[in-house]
Amino acid sequence: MGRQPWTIHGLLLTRDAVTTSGNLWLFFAATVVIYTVVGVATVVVLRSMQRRWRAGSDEDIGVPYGPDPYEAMLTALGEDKGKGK
Amino acid sequence: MSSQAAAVLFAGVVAYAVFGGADFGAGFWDLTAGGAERGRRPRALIDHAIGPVWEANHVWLIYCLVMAWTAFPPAFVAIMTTLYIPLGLAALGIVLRGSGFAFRKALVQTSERRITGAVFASSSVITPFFFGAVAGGIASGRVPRGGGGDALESWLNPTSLLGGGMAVVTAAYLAAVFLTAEARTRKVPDLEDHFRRRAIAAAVVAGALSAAGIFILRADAPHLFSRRVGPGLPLLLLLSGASGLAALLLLRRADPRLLRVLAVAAVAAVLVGWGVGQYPNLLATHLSFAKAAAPDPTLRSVLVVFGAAALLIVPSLALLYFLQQRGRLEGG
Repeated sequence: MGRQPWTIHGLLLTRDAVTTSGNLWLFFAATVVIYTVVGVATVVVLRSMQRRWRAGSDEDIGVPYGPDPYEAMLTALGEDKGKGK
Repeated sequence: MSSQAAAVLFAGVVAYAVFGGADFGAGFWDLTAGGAERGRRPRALIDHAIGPVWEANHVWLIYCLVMAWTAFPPAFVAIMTTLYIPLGLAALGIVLRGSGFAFRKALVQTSERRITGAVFASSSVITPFFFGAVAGGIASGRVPRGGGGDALESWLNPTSLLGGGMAVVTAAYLAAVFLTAEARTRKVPDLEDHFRRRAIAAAVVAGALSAAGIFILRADAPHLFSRRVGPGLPLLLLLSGASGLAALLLLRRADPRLLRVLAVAAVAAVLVGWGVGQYPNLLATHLSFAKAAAPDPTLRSVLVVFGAAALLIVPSLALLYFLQQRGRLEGG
């Protein structure tokens, strides 16, 4: 597998395996742009989390993939529970 | 053997539509929940309802892709080289949706949360739309057997727009029913009311759209009607309408678990109807599953792998959904 110029060694050339649909460069450029934006955003978000953590004010927000701040949600949901009843 | 492989592939399509659909639909209600203040509580419920399972549902998409290119390679090539624009946009939606959701959780300022939240919510709408448009392009016979069909007309056509619209509306309906059940489990009556009203509205729109859909399909994809339609198809559509209606009528009283089952049945029956209507063809009228199938040894190994995966993955996904429905996944 994978050694150029083969996609499948001895069976399929990369040049024959490439899509016939066109617009390849456009899609490639779009992919690069999107992942750059998401990558930069990741760094920005991580840095802002780091700042908050250093300032010691990170207790009330959630951490992706971390335990949910269940209490926070209960307060958010429960606040005007009375009105709904 | 190609029929078994087709059934296994289609089971994945239905599972993605139902589980992924509920997930996307939650994003739709997030988008339409209103301003930061008014929408705060519905959004909190949505966040906590989908938090534990978000993105787990995309395993079904990966499953469908792998099944499609392994078991039916010529059809996969034809679909990819024709419908690459809507498929690319759907993938874009999935990437942005995931990042938007994760980033929003980690940010505190309202302005930042508004941007990431808008990205999450709007991509929750465009992704199912484009998947529906892809389904419409396939069903209406716009994907040529050899691929390379019209890059725009293959998904900018009446059947695709109908498919896209139906995907968005049924996802919203599923999510609204699920969230109603969720609000009841958590005993938040005003949010239960909030999502019940939305479930009814979505169901009305879905009903109207399917009625209009009959005429659209008659005009745009007549081959779906010219074929001999067995008793299966009308029965399935009847089942869909009946369970959809039952879910609405019981929305106020029934056990949340029953509600979820009814809503899922309503959506799944429509999809199975599409599959039954098209069988034994994969691409409208011109490529059958048998002709598109990979050689028998490949199909055999795919089915074996599927069996093994089912044994390993279904119990763990079932446990995930079960724990989530029981509200056991929150810390505390």
